[in-house]
Amino acid sequence: MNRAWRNLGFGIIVAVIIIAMTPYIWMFLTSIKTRVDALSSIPKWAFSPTLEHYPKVFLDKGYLPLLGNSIIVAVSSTLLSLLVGVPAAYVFARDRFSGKEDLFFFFLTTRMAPAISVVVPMFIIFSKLGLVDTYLSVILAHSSFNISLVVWMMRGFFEEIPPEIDEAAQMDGNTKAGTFFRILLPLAAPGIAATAVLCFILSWNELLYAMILTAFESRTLTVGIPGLVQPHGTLWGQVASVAVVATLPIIIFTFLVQKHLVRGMTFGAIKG
Amino acid sequence: MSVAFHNVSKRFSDGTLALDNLEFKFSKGEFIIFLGPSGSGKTTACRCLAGLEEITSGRVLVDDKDITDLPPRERNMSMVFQNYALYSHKIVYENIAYPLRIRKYSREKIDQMVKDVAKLLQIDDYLGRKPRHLSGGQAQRVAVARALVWQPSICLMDEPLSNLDAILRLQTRTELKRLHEELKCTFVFVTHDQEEAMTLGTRIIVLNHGKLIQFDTPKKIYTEPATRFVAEFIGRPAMNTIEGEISNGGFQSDLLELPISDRVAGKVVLGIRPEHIALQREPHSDFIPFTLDVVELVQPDTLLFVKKEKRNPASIVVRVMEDCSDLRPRDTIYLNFPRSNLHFFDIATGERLP
Amino acid sequence: MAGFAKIKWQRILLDKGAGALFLTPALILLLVLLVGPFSYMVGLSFTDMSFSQPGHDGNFVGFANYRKLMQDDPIFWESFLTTIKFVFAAVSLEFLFGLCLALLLFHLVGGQRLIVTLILMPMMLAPVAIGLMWKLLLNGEFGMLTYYLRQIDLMAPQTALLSSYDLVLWTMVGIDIWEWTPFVTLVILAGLMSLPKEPFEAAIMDGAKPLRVFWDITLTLLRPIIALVMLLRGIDAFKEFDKVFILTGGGPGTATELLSIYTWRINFRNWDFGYGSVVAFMVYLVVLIMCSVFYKAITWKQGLEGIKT
Repeated sequence: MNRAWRNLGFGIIVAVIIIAMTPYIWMFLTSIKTRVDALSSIPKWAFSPTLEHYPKVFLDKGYLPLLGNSIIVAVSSTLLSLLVGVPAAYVFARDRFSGKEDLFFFFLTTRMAPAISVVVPMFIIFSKLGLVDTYLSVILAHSSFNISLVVWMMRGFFEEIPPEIDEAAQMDGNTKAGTFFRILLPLAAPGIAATAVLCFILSWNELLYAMILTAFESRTLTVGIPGLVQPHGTLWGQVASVAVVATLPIIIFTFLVQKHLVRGMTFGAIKG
Repeated sequence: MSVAFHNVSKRFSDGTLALDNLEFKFSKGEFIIFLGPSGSGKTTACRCLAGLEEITSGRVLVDDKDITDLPPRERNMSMVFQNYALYSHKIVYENIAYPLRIRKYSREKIDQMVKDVAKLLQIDDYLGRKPRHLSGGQAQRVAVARALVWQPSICLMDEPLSNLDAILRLQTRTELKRLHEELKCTFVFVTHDQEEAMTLGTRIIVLNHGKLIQFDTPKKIYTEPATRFVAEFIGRPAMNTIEGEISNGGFQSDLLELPISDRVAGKVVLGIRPEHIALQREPHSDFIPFTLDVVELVQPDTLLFVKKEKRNPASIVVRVMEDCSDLRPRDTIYLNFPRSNLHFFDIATGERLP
Repeated sequence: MAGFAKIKWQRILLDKGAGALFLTPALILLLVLLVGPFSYMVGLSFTDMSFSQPGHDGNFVGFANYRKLMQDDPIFWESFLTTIKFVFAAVSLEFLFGLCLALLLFHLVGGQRLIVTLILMPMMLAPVAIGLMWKLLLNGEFGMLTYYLRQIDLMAPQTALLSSYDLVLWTMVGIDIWEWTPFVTLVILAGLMSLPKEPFEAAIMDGAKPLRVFWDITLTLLRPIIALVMLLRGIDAFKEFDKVFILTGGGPGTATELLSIYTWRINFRNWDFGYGSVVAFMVYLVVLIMCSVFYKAITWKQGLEGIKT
């Protein structure tokens, strides 16, 4: 491949990276600009930064608890989905029974269920049970799509472990359950970590369920964003700050676990 | 038509020198073998000839025309890959027809050529199948058919028999030889199996560590190995090589002492093939006693492993074609080493000594 | 290795029963969380329940709501059409860009992780935050992108993309492309990296030129993976809500009123759950149909497996 084409190719890649990152960087800059700078009709790239918006929205306006709520909901739904999904994935990976693939497909489709369709009856049912605006409702709602993600991904990870290991463990005297807990789980730990991160991200980023099923007590950070956007007079510095806090952890996470994330996300498509 | 490598060297991007100044020439119609242990550069040499790898220095010539910078499709060569590389989504007929379709032959011509080559390789019954429904041997023949159908001037084969089971390998070997004689085309065949090389090739290029060690007919390679490496690589079992010294009118070593009158004094490696050693059960003049260690029955031959003394693990292998059921380990037998069958190699370089 | 189950029934439970034990909680949870509400929703669709009349579960109205949907709700069908336009445009362009980018990365960078992660960034962000970002960029008065587009004369001085009837849907498509092309790129890249080398070399030796090798070999081998990822994207694009909600709320007018937005409006602005359930049910149905296509695609792909080497 000769030089000119290579340079063009690299140029395109650089351009793509810039396109991918600029919107986010601009929003970050907005969160540290004064109101005047942010609303300037000519975009300002040089300005003196200010951190005033962050305490204003998180302390004065009381958005800090939303951060806590997001953490609680994301962690809990991840844990619940893992708790319930990992053993199920193991069964799909190892056992043979009639209707296995059909059942697996049922699990897959639960991920596809349109949130807007599920949340309508869910809202009514939860409000009759008095569960709206509690953590439980959102956690359950998020688990409804995370469980199938866990089953889908972990099945692939389990299938990568040779079945001879199971058999060796059973020859050593373990029950099937024992084999799972003592041998397979530790071996699948990297896969579980990758899956957990993905579940956490999906739950953290989710808007629709969180918006409908919560009110004041259990609002998550993502719900806080539309709340700050008004037809006129949106306080951009503040809402940008919320968005930054809502997205920064995920970015850091992504960089930390790049290797496993890439592997895990392509599993579904490649392994089918 | 001739093919030549002039000072061809190839260095990989991680620094390893795969080919070291290869220089050879062969002509049309030959069945050339690239033979060597793994890592010797034989596959690399083949891929450089094909154009799948770029050479670092040197030139490759076909009919005295420099083809070093030509891409594979302009070199008029085809290739059979070690794991066949059939197109999994096409049926056998389409796999074979593919090179013809690229060259835009007419539909009738393609049909005729595919069917002809399929008949030649006895795969005409499988033309409608997909590769995953073929056995190893069938798939291999499809790969060969695809390589031959468009009648290239040279057909390259990279260890095509390695993935077959032992019986199939021998059968296919014979078929390839027959094919070569019938089609009279030029084959370049890569292998690490010296038996394959010796039976199939008109001439063999022996490679080791990227260097050309010897380029000769099988007979010459067998009777006059150029280096100790070649001597030990060819033949099953390998040639006996014993390190020692010529002094006091004889060859002295821990294992063996022979009277040698016509050689210069100094350290040497003595070589003799197992089948050239004469055997006697009773003491005989000019026969040296040895203790028998192991007897291996490889019908119709028997291999006898003898040792001089218990502490010394080195042994000499003798191959005889007689019934040795009377011999037991720890028996004493008597061996003779005819002067005319002795080879001598330099102890430092391994080069053959005159 | 202490603690083997010594009592017989314990052994049986943990051994033979392990499979059922492991599967059941997930199954129960999913049935409760999804099948339950689904059935309830279907039931609701036959009532006229509404939260604007509190403490009232609604009367049974038979198929009235269904009739209304089929005959009396042009906005629903318009919204359906808008969504289809959105899905087709977004998915086909994401495929095109994703494929090109994946090929580029494959040949130049080969899956080098840092660059891939940087390109992946958009899909990691919360969609609502993405909506906010672009709302900021495209703002009519101080949006950075609006400013530069006007500078290079691609936009008239007084217009803004988000308030233009003609352009706003395509703007949504563009933003979706920004968000999801990385995902398509990633999957195709992983596919490219998993392809065996030999068919390519065989085609080269058979005399094929690079373009032909790409068409005959690369694309053919990638076809199942591409089909899968595009179907996945299609289903997700159909359900799109977050970005559009915060960017335009369905406007201007109904230019970006996707099905999900319309469903939300009926149920959570008008609080008309009876009719809203029918709409929600319709959305569910379409997605279910797309899923069964997905199922056929997966099993077809598995049928293609078993490559002979």
